Amino acid sequence: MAVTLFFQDAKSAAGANVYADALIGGGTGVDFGQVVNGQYAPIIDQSLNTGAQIAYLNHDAVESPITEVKFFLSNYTATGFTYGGSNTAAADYSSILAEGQASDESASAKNNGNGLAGGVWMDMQWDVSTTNQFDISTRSTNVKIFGNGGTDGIDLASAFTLGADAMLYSADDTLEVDATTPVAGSIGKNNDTVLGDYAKIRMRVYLRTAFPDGGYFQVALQVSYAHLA
Amino acid sequence: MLHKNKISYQVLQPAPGGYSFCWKLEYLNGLTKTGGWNCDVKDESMQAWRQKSTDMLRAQVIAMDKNRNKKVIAECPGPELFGFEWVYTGRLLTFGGVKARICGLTLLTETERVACYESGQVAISPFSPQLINKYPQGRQE
Repeated sequence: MAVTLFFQDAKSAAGANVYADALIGGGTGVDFGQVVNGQYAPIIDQSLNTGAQIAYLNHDAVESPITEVKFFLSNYTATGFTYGGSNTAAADYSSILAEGQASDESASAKNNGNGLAGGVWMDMQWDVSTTNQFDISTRSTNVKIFGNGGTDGIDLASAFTLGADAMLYSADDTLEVDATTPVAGSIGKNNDTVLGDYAKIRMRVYLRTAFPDGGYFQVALQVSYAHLA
Repeated sequence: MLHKNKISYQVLQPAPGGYSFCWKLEYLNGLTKTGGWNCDVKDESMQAWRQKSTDMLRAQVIAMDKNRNKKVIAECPGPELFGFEWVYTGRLLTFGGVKARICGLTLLTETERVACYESGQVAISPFSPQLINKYPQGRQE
């Protein structure tokens, strides 16, 4: 019973809003835009901590939820995709992970106010406030950095489990309310008010002021999940 | 050597090309039912959760390497079985509807989850049926 997982920029039970940014090198996906050293992307106002790539995950399984939803960052290399970055896919992947490993995690890191935050970040609380989003110093359960510690979020074994706080229920694909009893790693069927039927996450790419390289970087965000056999 | 608990399991050596998996159910009368290798069939009658649960002797996860050598990688007594789950992986940022592929098979009891991965690794974690809201009913009895 194959199940399709949807990764979208707006809610749609049928998966109508999947990402389709044209990617350098070919193919479509998510383009985070340009990242200025000492800032992050997507960015609106750094001082106000605004701007984030919001994404929704849901699926079309009808018998049961999907479970064990986890994320990790991987090398961009894949059949059908030509690496369009400035260096090699492997070298750039290593650079992005190293940037995550080197990142600051203080209160100033959330908006890179100190120029010491780096790497690909994910915030897994659907209703987090603008002020608090990506504040890893106080919300480390929900805020993750790929490559943190040099070991976290880099393969299946070290993948980050989807947080329960990411889960919401939307009756009409517009309104968002808290799932009543969400479970970490689980995304319910469409209209599941208990587990929630959408995971809402936020992502950013940070660069330290000292990051030396320029040009395009491409990495693959991998997901793993389990479903009824 | 299988580790003994409610679920028995073993970690396999990494194999070139990785492992494929299937589920297997053995019954007290000697009959067996086996799923396909890395096969999430659409026909519900061929899925593990629709198989007869009474008089089950044991449930197993079988691993097969590229040379078609087969080993039991996890098993539990039949009455302890809660279900199986295929484990998928896929790329998010470069696809909309994720074209995921099977990378493992999980054996679930009322208390444990043993995930068997294509690398030969096994991950054990606590499990409770309450973690799954409205798991489907409809096993053949």
